[in-house]
Amino acid sequence: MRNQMVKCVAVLGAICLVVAALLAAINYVTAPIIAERAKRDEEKAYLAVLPDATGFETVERTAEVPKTVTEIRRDKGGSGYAFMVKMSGYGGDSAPITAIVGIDANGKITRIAVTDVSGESAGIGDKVAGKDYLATFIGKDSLLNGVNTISGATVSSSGFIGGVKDAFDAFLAVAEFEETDAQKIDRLVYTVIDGMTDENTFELKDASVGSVIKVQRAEDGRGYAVALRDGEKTVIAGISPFGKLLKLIDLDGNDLTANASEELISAANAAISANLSAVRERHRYDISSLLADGASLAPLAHKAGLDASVIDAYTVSGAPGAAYAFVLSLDSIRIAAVANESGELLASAVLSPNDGDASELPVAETVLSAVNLFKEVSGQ
Amino acid sequence: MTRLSNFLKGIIRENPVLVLVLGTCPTLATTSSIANALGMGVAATLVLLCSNMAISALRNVIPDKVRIPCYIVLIAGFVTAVELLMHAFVPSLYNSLGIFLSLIVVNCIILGRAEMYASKHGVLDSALDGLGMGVGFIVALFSMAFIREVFGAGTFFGIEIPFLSEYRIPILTQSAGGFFVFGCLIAIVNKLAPGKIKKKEFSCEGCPSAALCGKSACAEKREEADA
Repeated sequence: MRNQMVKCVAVLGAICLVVAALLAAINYVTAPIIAERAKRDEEKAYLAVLPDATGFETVERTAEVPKTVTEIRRDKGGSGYAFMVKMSGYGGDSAPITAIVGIDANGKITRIAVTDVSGESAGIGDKVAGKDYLATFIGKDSLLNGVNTISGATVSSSGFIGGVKDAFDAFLAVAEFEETDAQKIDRLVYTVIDGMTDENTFELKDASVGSVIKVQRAEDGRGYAVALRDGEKTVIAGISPFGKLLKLIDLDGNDLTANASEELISAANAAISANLSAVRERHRYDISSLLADGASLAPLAHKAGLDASVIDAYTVSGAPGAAYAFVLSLDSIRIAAVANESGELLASAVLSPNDGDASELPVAETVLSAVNLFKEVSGQ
Repeated sequence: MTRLSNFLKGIIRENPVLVLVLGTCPTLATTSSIANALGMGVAATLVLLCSNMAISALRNVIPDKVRIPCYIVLIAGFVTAVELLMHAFVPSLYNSLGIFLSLIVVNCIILGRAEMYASKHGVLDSALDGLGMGVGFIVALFSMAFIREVFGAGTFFGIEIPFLSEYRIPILTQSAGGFFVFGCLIAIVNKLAPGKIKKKEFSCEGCPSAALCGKSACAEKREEADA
């Protein structure tokens, strides 16, 4: 019995040893070949996006480089940079799209090579790797004018575009590059209103007249960002829905709010007035659906100390009991609210988004404090 | 059985995938493209041949109690060797096969043939058996891949076929379609070769774990057979 056990152990052990030795030998032979090939494939991939490169050196990622950019290579001959970006598309973060973005010394894309698109749906999302789509990126700078998302593959393609923009952010972080004013505006315009990002704003198309370059409006109505020329300089102003200047910066990011001139503020207001009146007319229509017929609304001017979530305010006449009406923007949900003289909430309704849930939001408290603020200023 | 029939049986009569229903995972997974299917088939055949020969050569040395671990170590060793060599010399095939190359270790065909045949027969017979089963595997993989790629993707080996690529049936390249095709192929083969298949060899009596199995159905059958 014991003899059997010994034999079992001995045979199994011997087989394991022999197999292990054999594998070690094969590994010894093949490992250098595999490593060499991996290195050459990497070089080939980077060469594909920077075809005039003479040799690559690795650049360390700094703190400003976005997390999605995993590798940076600089061409020793100075023709540009190549960035390996892992973009979160349909496959999310577990199956990112891996692509190499080549940006030349002038800040324009040379080529994009997609190396891994296995996380995207075949025939749908993997169109981001298609030759025709990638060709739309060639020669573009960080503004990516003319690059569109792919219809039917929105998640994949907007993730892809976001990744290309990350590559540009990395480029700015590691290369000494002068952005054009347009590029700076594109980057800084979201910093003047709290909570504004490129996903919750849209551009007012007809606003670029005179000294005004660009106007972005926050979807939930919390404010406008106006980029305009102030004499020699270009500045970006953040305007509240009451026409008050919230923040003013120049293109180097310096805060100029304290030195804003009256002319500048009125120029910015002029840029948004058409849109603002249309918005307010809509608000009045929405509020009157909460009131009895025949009620009329008179707009209230902004008061210092008014909560930033109040984006429109009116006094009500001709409706029994109702004295004030507001439009609030809480948690990106727009709400119309009607209150009586004492500030108690009488009625409220969600204006947008359609499925917005206002039950957890401090509507009544915000209305009460707004009414108190307006009452104390008018001496009541 | 003659040497030739030993080799030939693996191709139709005892086709490992379509008759013995072994190795279905890699079959379903790699047959969405003909190139992958053939690559998998060749790799598995290589491993099957080597492992059959090695196990047959050591069949008198390996004690019964540790035979499964020993077989697995040998098979895993061969698979790893094939993997390393492929990675170094045919990296494109290595990348397309991906994880399924490593999964050849648990491909039932290899362990099954080791148990059912190689541990009981000589080296040359085992080699022929392994080769025959391997060829049968390749034939089955190729037939499935042919149907799935030509009608599902409209291409042959990646080359587009003018008419079919417009009227393709994409579901064939996905999992559900794979199962459809697989089931149909099994039905066809079992219809074309009826009565020649010795089911006894691979029901409970042929099962490698028959002696150890305490499951009610197998135990009852064994008791009936013994009685």
